[in-house]
Amino acid sequence: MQAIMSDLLSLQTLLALVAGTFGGLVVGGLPGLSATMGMSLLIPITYTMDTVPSMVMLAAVYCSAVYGGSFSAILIHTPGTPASAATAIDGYQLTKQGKGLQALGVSTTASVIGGVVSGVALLLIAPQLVKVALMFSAPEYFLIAVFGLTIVGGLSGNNLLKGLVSAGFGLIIGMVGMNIFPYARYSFGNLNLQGGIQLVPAMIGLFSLPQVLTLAESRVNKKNREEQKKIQESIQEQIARAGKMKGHFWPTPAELKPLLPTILKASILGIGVGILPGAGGDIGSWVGYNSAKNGSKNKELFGKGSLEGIAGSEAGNNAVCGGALIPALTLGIPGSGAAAVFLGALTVQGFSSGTNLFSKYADMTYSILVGFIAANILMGIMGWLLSRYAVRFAALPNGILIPVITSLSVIGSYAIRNNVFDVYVMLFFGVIGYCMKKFDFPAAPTVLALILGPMAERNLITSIQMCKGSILVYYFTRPICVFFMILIVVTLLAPVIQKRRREAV
Amino acid sequence: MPWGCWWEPYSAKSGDKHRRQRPWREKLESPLATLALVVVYALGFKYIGFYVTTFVVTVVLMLYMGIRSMKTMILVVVVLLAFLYGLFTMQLKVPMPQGILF
Repeated sequence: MQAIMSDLLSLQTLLALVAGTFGGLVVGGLPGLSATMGMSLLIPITYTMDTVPSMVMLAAVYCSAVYGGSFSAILIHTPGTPASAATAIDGYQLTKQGKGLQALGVSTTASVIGGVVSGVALLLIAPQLVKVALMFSAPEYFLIAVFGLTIVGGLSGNNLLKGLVSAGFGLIIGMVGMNIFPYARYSFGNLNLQGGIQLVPAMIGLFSLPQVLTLAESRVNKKNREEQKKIQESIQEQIARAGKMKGHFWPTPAELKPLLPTILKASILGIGVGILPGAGGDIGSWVGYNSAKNGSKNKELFGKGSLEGIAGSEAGNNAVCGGALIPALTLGIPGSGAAAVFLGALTVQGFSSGTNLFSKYADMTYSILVGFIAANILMGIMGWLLSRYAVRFAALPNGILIPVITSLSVIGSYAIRNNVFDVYVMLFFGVIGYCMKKFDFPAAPTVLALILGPMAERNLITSIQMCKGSILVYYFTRPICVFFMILIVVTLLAPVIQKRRREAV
Repeated sequence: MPWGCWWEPYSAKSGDKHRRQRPWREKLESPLATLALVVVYALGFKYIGFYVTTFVVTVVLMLYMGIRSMKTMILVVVVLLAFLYGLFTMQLKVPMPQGILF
């Protein structure tokens, strides 16, 4: 405990916590920028720091960016991140009714409670899951990776096929280099490719450059000058109105009491959504919003300014953060794109997920987890202090954001190994990521497959070496393997069965 | 299809086969120009020098995106370059490619 506290209360960790929380609020408040993008740009900066402050900083950016998206969603009807889309429905209605500050207060309270509950779940569930993972060997890890890949494809978007194609692309990229075999695959004689595709430049490319190119689409030209001017004026007007908001921020005990069951229910659902690979904060917020609507006595208020709707959505999306880190830290399967970046940063620091994190490096891991809970509380305090000003971030012109993100992407990709080739990798993935975005292919499965593919291959090879005789007999005589095989079959068949049922009705 | 009907080659109304409908062209013009600048940046910083290339690309991107205020441009360039130099060169000791300039 003493070691954890001394790690957490060191000046570097405290500064990282404050900087990460503030940075996350800025990234979240800027429509178009996401938590995943902010985190991937931060890895090159944090990799030289000690492990605890760097991971706490990333965790702080993660949770506060998800929360920060609610400011612009509530006050100017523009979700800062996709995870705040559900919040915008009722939040903006409340702002129009002059209750913007109250809506922000409920959003802050729900986000903090959702985040803290998920942090506590992470602290309690992860060590238990690691104990179960102790029973796992190569065959089980192979099937877990396959299960992760199957569920990633299915959950990551509206289109199952596009999710699977995206994951398949990640698998192919994961085969490059000699990460498993003593010879290099698909390196085309290039020395830089022999070590495989570097995860961090690939993530920066997939999450940052497409954002830059999408922002560039809104360039002011002769045709849309008037239209853009009107949009800017409307945003400025709404921001000015936000600065004059009246009322109380924090909900009174009487206001909070009826919201608490909604918040807790959405938090638990959010943790569950987070644990499922591929389902991020956006799905968590809609699940929370719908659960709030279904359990509400005032269903007619939903869509017209319901505090319960905001509470459900915000508790749901922030609870996803902790939930997504549970399988990431214990089994190496990230629960979301942001958790994949978190896992990538941990790898850059020289650690791998699994039992070692909770035994050999337990002090460090628990410091990070407690830091995650602290970040959730600090984000609430900072959100309260910045409530009247945070929405101003949304007015930052794209002409400033684009060069800043571009230069950070280039220098960030280069700085990891001081290798110009990594910048080219970032560029390649950036172009691919933009095309994927335009054709509605989710990028998260590619990154998850980039992590899970080599894990699956490595464990498959090891299990083939371990089995003496038939590989099928070896797999089918292991109960946990049979359990995972059933899970994989069910996951693959579920969408087909659902579709047939719908057609039958 | 998010880029619109870009496979529809001819104007259905006029029937003029030489006048093509290209809604994608307008939509892609800015991202492609930005991408071209990013490619020049990524390829050029090794030969010209990171900070000089960053300065040029930042100014060109701001001008291209419609920023006209000289004060804003100077502020963004100075703060960005100072941040990158302070963090990556001084703090993290990343050896930046010097190129022919700086």
